Amino acid sequence: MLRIHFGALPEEIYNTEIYYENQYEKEWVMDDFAKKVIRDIDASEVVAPDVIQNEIFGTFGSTELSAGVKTLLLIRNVKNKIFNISNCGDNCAPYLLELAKDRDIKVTLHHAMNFGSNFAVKVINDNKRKVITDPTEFLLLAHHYLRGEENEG
Amino acid sequence: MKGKISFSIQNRHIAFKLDLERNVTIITGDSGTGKTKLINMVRMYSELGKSSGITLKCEKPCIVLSGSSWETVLENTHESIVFVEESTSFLSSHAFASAIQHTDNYYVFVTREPLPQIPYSVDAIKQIVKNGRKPKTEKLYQKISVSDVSTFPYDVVIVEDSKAGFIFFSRASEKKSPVYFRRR
Repeated sequence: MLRIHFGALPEEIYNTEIYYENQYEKEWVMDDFAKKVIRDIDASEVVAPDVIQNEIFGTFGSTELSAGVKTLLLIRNVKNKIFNISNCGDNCAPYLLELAKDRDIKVTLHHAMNFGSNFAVKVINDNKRKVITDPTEFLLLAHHYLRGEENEG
Repeated sequence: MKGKISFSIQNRHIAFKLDLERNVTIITGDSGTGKTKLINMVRMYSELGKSSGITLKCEKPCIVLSGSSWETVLENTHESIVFVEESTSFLSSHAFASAIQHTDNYYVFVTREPLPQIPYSVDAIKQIVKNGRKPKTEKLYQKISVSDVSTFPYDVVIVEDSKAGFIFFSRASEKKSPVYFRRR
C-alpha cells in the first residue's frame, strides 16, 4: 500500500534527482519494471546497464532520465528511504501503485497527484491510517494538508 | 517589467518556445516531457552563452536561480527571466515569496506544488506536452465556454465558497445533480 504523507517530513529525500545522481546503480535499469517505465514515461529503450537510447537524444546514461523515472527506480531499489513523489507526474501514478502492491511504501507528496478513479492509498497525516479510494476525497485531503498557512511545502 | 515576452531555446535535438505574459508562469505536467531539459538548457546558456551549442532567443537575460545563495543572486538580478526548477527547496518558502514581490523580473517556476504564498493567474499555469523535437507548451486550464456550461459534462464541481461560484454552477448543472463540496 502506498502510504502518503502530504507535505514535508524531516527525513524525506526531497530532491530525488540529486539523490539518484549520487546513489544509483547501473544495474537498476535492467529489470523488467525499469525497462517498462523508461519506455512508457521517457520514450526510451534500455540497451545495457546505464545505457539508454532515445530517437531524439541518442544514447545517454540513466542520470539523464526524467525525475519521475528516477524516483520510481529509487523507490524500487532503496527501500529504507522516504522519497518525495512530487518529483513524479501523473503518468507515474500507476507505477507507484504497482510498486506498492506487494509492500508498504511511505512517501511524501507536495501536490495533488491524480491517481485516476481506481486506486487505494493511505493518507497518514496526523497519525491517521485512512485508506482513500475516492479521487474527490483525496483532492480535498491534499488541499487541507498542503494549503495551510503554516505549510511552506 | 510588463507585457508579453517571447522565449525560445533550442539545440540540435530539441526546441522549446514559451510566451510569458505575466510576471509568474508555472510549468507543470507529466514526467518525461522535457521540463528538466528546458531548465538545464537555460542554465548552460546562461553560463556559456553561444559556446554551449544552444540558441536562446529572448529580449531579456535568462537565468536559473538555485542554491543557498539565491537571495544574493536575486538582489542583483533585474529585468530578467528567472527560472526555478522543481524540487528547489526555497521555491515554496515564505522568504522567497516575499523576496520576489517587488522585483522587476519575470519568473518561470517548474513545479507541481501549489504555491499559495505567491499570487499567480490560473492562465499562467502551463504544461509541456510531448511533440517529438518540438514539445508544445499549452495552458493547463481552459476557460468554460457557453456551450460547455449548457451541456455540462462534469460530475463533480469544487468551488471555493458558497458565494457566486457556487450559485453559478448550481444553476449551470441543474439537470445533472452533481455533488458540491465547498469550503465553509
